[in-house]
Amino acid sequence: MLRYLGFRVLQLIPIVIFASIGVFLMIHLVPGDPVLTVTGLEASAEQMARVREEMGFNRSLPVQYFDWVGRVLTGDLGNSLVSQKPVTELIADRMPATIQLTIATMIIGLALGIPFGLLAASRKGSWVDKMVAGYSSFSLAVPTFVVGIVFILIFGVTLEWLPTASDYIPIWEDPAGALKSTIGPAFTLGFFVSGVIARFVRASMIEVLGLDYIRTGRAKGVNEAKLVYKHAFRAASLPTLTVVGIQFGTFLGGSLVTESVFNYPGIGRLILKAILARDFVVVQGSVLVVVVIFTLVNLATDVLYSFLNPRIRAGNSG
Amino acid sequence: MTPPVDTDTDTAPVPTSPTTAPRKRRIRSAARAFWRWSRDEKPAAVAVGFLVLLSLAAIAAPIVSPHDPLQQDLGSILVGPTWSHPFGTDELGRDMLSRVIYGGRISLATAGIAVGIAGVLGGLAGLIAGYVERLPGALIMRSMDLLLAIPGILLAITIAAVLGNGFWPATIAVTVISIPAFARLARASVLAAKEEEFVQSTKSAGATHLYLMFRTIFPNALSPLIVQASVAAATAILLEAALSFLGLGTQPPSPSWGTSMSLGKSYLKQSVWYALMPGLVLTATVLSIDTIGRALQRTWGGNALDSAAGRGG
Repeated sequence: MLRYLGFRVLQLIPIVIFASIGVFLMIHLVPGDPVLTVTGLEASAEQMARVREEMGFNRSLPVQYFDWVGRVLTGDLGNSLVSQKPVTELIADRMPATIQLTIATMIIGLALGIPFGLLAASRKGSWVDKMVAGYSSFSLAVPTFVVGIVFILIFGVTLEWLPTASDYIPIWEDPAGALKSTIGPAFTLGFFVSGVIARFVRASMIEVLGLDYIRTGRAKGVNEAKLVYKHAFRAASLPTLTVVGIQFGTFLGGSLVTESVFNYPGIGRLILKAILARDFVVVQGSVLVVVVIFTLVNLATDVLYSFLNPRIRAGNSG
Repeated sequence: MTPPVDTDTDTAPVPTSPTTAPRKRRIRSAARAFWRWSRDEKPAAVAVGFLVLLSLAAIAAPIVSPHDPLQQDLGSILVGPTWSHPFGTDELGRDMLSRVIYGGRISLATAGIAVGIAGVLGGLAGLIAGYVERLPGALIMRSMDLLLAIPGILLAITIAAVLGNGFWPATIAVTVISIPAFARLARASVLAAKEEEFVQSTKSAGATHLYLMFRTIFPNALSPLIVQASVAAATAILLEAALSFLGLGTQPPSPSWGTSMSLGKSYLKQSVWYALMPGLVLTATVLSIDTIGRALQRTWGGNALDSAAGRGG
């Protein structure tokens, strides 16, 4: 197990290095001068040359890259070209909002997705199964901004129960307020996630329910509900864990579209605003952080999966 | 997530149409096959109908749209559905039905271009990576992993922003992130097909590498790639709309669905139809393509596709 873990962590290194090069190149090969972001469009040639000198943009790309990576390794992601604030501080400001939203999203996604998936699997081929299939197809096809807008339309504009624009309120400070401001974006993303989860739960439940030990259990007269919800679901929840992990990792990196629809101040908004303002230091730093989070969560999912799966656990311990 | 692998290659032969058969008869038998298929897959048949209608409307937009999509009419702004404006109007009195029809051009063009290019590039890359497993294969697949290391929508947004806003930057961004899925799928199919007897026997009969790759193996990898193309087309339409919604796609006054929704969101209190109608058509389009893809998959066999990748967010 330890060797497996070590191997997986080592695998991370090339991914992160490649991603850092990718992010760096993508932003530095841009047509358009980052200096203009600092000086404004009216700057004279001398002003621009001075800023370029100060920020080190006149050096060659490899030098700039290694300089950047060197500082990243010491925990310095640079300062925003617009607000001059450290990028680490900007990310740290937004992270709690995104974490709260992601957790709420996963709760909604699991609470809807698992029962639907179980229901569909236990009545395979029936109209219930078809309804659930329709539900998950719909949830994957409808864009999050459409769900978000309809949500705002119903609960914000028509019923006036919820604010039309969300704000981040920590759940431990004001639970009711936090619920009100997070439920919109969380439902929007959770609806999508629930479709993915329902489909996975259904598929793996059907697979498990066809296995020998379930048939044996049935022949022995084990209570059907116990068989389905205890024995089969436990085995079927493993593959589902992978998909939950991937979604969790993705949304921890912020959700640019949904956060925009609700004006929710998470990582996604930070990145989008930086992209629109051509504040490449912020884009570079936060995209790198998002990629690292995404990769780490995927790793954690894989490790958890192999830890929970006796077959893999046994195979790697020797 | 494990890449979708098509293992039952023998159940999915791609009919190579006999070139000797008269064209009329071939068309008739194809029509009959489609008719039989649509009886088994009714929702998919409805979806095909919707997409044909949408495509025709998009192609013939200047003829079928009731108004000029850019024609302002400040006398009737933000009205709901009426006989002369079935989808209502926007804040400048422009006819939303006409704008949705013209917007379909943008969405369908993005999907067509992105899937066409990504399918060919990704398919070729996967074919090579599967056939030559050593250095070229490893190199190709590692670069695909690199593309997959960044969440899809974030990568698309960054590329689109880096290239500047507009139709082409958005389309290029969508194309780039569609490539890895094709490559992985093609590689997996090739790896499976390589071990099959018919490939081995063709090889021992002295077939060249190119013949083996394109005439023997590739036809067997085609049906999963077609299914993937449908998933990718639907995702491409969603991504294009998301980019436009964020202001990174085609710019106003161009009537992209995402742009319309983003503008319409500010007028929800005055007119719900403005933001809603493009969203409904968009959802119906994506749902239709997904439905067809799933029906094709049932017909041809193969493992479940990951249609969630690159969506949501």
